[in-house]
Amino acid sequence: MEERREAPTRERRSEEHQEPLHPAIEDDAEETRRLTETWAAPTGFVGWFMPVNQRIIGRRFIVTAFVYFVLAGLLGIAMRLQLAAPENDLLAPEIYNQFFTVHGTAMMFLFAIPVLEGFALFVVPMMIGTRDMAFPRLNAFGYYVYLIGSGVFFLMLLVGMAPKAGWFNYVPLSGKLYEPGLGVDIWTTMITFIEVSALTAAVELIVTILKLRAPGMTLNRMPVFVWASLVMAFMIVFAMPAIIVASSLLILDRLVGTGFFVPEMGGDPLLWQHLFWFFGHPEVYIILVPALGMVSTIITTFCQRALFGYTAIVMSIVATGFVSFGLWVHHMFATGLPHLGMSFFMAASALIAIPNGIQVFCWIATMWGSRMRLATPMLYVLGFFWVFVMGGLTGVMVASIPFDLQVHDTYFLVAHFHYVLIGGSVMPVIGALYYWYPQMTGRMMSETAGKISFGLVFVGFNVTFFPMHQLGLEGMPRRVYTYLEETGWGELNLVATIGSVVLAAGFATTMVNALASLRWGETARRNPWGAETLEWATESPPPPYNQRHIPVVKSREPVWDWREEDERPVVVGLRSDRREVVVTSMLDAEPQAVQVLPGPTIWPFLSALAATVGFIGILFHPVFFVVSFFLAFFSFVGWFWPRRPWQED
Amino acid sequence: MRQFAGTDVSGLTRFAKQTHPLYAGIIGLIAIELTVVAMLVVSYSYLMLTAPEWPPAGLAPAPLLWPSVNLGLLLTSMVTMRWAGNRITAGDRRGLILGLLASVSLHALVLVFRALEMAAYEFRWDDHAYGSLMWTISGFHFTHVASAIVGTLVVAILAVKGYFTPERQLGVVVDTLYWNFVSAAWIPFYLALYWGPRLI
Amino acid sequence: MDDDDDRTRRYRTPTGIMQLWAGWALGPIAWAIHQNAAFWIIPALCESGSRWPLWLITAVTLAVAVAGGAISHRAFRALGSRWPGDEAGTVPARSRFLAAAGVGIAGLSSLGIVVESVGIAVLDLCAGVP
Repeated sequence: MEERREAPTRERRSEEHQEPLHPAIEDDAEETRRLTETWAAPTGFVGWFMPVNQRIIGRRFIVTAFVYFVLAGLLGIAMRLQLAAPENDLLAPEIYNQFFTVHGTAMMFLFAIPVLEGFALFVVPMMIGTRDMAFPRLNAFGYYVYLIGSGVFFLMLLVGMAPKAGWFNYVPLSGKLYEPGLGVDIWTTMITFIEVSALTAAVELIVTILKLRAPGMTLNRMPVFVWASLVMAFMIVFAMPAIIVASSLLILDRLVGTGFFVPEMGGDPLLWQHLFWFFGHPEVYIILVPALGMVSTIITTFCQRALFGYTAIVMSIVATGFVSFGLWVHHMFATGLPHLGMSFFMAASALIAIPNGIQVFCWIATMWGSRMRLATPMLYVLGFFWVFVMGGLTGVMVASIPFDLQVHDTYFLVAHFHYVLIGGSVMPVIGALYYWYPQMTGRMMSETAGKISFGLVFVGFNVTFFPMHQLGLEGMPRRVYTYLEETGWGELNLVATIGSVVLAAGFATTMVNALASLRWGETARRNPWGAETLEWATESPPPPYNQRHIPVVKSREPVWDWREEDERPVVVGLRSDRREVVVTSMLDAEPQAVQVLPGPTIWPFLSALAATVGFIGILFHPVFFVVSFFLAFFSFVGWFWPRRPWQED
Repeated sequence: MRQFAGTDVSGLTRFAKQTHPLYAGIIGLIAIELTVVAMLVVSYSYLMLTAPEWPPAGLAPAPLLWPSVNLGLLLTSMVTMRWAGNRITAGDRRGLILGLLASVSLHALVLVFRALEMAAYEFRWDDHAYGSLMWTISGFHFTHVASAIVGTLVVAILAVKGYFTPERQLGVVVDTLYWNFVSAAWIPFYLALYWGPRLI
Repeated sequence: MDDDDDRTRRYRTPTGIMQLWAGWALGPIAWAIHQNAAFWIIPALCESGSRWPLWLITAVTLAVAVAGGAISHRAFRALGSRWPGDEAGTVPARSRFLAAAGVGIAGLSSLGIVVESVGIAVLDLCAGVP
């Protein structure tokens, strides 16, 4: 390992090295006990609604998101079974429409965003060496809002009232005329609800990353995953309000008869598409960008060498974030916009291949000639390469307007976006699950099962979705519940269905592995993968306070430094009888202040309930808007009211 | 592994103001809300610019007087809020309470004027897209002014109870920040809703 | 390392820090303005039949994006034109990193403006205008 880090790095560190005569710090057992007590989360039934610790909330996000992954995946399997043969009658058209709508909505809003937020909430504070998020109670609030919103949305499927207009709910199809009933109403309110949760997580991530980094972690020493989470959070802040506005306007159209999207009243259905895709396109990059960060993290660890081209990779991630806001019109090439105007978006869509290409080359350079350790997380990353590059290639194809018009709304598109979403996001996430599992549970997931799972996922995925390219070119439209035998699409659809079962078996293997390893998994050693970032600088699983001392950082790979030097500088002077963390400056992470964090409380849960009353009640009577305004107000007062004794120092 | 003291933070302040993460968090909240404001203005402009007539035939653009008065009141309330903050920094609790109550009164006056103005609209939200936008955006801003009022009232109650000191005044600082956003958010709406139809 | 002391002082000041971020901010902002202004103005231009406003938007925004990159590049040169690594000296190191990334981001934005303007030269102004 050592010879693989460049010589200047070591020289440089000896230059900056602290005087060797600094007295060592011995950990006092009494102090440690008090720290544990201060940071402990409440237990019991009521206690379940109270914890605010970042790792608990992050883990809940991840677990809940995976539950929806399984449920929405089952819907996908049901659709594949329906399409396995021409003129099949397994699912009625009504049900099929509900299934594809809920499948898409759930995979995007209930699984992908929350799971990546969950990983960010779980990993980022540890990676930057702090003890919690900047606003722990807001963090808890975000989770309850997500839990309630997603639960209500999914329940609609059980009572047969789910929306049927597709995950992007184009008007007028999603208007009251063509979609009577509660389905779309619930969709709009619950999506807004879940976006609120995403926005709270985003603000917290931004502030935590910019203000709570360990002393010495300047911007250029931040791990790439932290950069990626930061970019994701900024994208959420500027993209999600568009969908909140769009769905609020839609619910007003449906409930009180406003005319935003009604042409006879001077509205315009295209406004919905502009607003939706101004959110919707950044959205797919919101779930891609942190996954790219995971890939960089896993490659660094399993190649045991510093990432090649750190600056270039960070620049690419940031540029991807910016450019993703200028692509939305490419979802609307078939709506009859000015050709010249669309050409700008065609150019931008092709342009985004550049930053992503830069990253892929940096990763290849990192892996080149290294002694790569082919454990499961790394296998998923290698799978990501193949699948994501394939998806990127078809992406450049559909960026071209003439080609797009040819395959618009066909299975070619379905193939393309499953390649980028599963390849670009889900595979790194599964790899990350294997990778960070020890920090979540203190145990390792089974490697054998992991490798089997990867094999099944990789083969199953390609068998499912590769034929769809051909089906699309042959003209099979998406969102049809069946097709005629004469079309000749039967064989390829059957192949895709067989593949989807294999794919599901692969994901199921990982899910079962994760559950079984809770109990039977091998106990994790400290830093089992030999990683370089701070989340591994503590036990597995970490104690409630994450690290006994907040460390001081002098390079991008602090844990490797300490391994070489066998000593490390830490922060002293934080009190152990209340929750204190160090606040540092944004650019250079120089200590500025100490933040006293609040402890566990039930108020965020009550606030989430108050908001629920409003969001659901408003579907039945406008008065609930006012009711919930005051309920939320009282719960916020309860949340923020300073308790005695008032903080004196 | 040997550990040694890299940095000692026992002397750092526990009462940070502008460097406190909450300050940055409120800026984040404002960034989100500004994006919402921008999306509403964009929606308004989009429908305005694609419509053959704006406002629809038979309607004159909404009168300018009261919205302009409101603009003045809202901007003045930013000054009184700032004054309140300065008073508590100087340790003057009475001044803080006075400043907070003055700001709240100015916002309350805005709510009254707005309510009267909306009651006098000659159209409903379900008449046409113009009506939908006028009512929705007005409602959005009305709700925000109302929440700034109740939030600041809570701060005022805490001030009466003697919670705020020159040191312990983060609550006032972040409330002022949000207050400024709510007050200033009227500017883009004012320009779009009242000047937009006159200028195209 | 007197140089580094100077740099540390300089890139702690608000002016110095703004120079570092110039490429990050001006590039993408200029590109976003170019794309949006040019996109939304087309129906009006089709009526009048002249495309010089599109060229004007392109020229102005390209100038802004390039200027952002140039400011970052100047900072990059002032910091010794070294590619940022994980080197000692926190302020010069992070400044080098920010400046280099700023050059890249502004460069990509400028490229975006240029490729978007290709259509202005070759496509019919009114095609597809409803």
